[in-house]
Amino acid sequence: MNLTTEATTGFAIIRVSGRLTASSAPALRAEVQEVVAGGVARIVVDLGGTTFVDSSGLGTLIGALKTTRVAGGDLRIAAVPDTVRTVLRLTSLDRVLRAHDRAETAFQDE
Amino acid sequence: MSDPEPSVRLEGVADLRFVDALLDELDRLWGRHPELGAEDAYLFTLAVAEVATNVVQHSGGEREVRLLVRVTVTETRLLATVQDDAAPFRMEGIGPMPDAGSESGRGLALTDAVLDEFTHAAGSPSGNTWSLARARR
Repeated sequence: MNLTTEATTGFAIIRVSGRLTASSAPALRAEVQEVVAGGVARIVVDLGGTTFVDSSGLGTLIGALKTTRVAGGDLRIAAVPDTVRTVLRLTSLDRVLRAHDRAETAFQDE
Repeated sequence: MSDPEPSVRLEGVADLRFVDALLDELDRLWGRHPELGAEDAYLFTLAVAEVATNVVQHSGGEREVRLLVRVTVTETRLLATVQDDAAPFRMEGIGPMPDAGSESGRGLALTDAVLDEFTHAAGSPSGNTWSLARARR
């Protein structure tokens, strides 16, 4: 898994490429904590390049959502592949992690 | 009719590197089966990986645990067995999917949700065998 973080106006985009699993999820958790500690609590996780997400990856996204909300922000997911959408639906996490088409516009409703 | 020889057979120490290697093997396996639907391949990979990860996460004791995973593709089904030599796992039924706010506990519930058959047999005095099957959609 590779992570690239991009700061834009008002929020940060973390792009996850490769597999988000038990072995790689701690790196995403650490990255989210670092971004929030740096003063940016609104984060989009771009899953466009994510090939696989397991339950540890899902748990990490939920943890990251809590981290941003505790800091007064929010976390959104974008460019979610169909297969990952299926898993979000099976776990009912599609209700709390709303999928946006593009990372750049995920916070546009505000 | 007996099932054909496994298409993937991977054996090793139960750690997260093993799970990563298993995912690599499964990627190669699906590459050899382009006729298989993407969702079948993805969800079966998820089930096998969740069971293997579950073994890894419960193998923090003093003794090294070993894993053997076999995956077979038949014309109608995807089959896998995951065997370990750990103490018998106390499988107290698979609970419901945790609440949306939970950060863990979804692995086996998710596994069960994507499979048509999911059974566990404890060995005596040790070892566990999980059998997984998903009908090809």
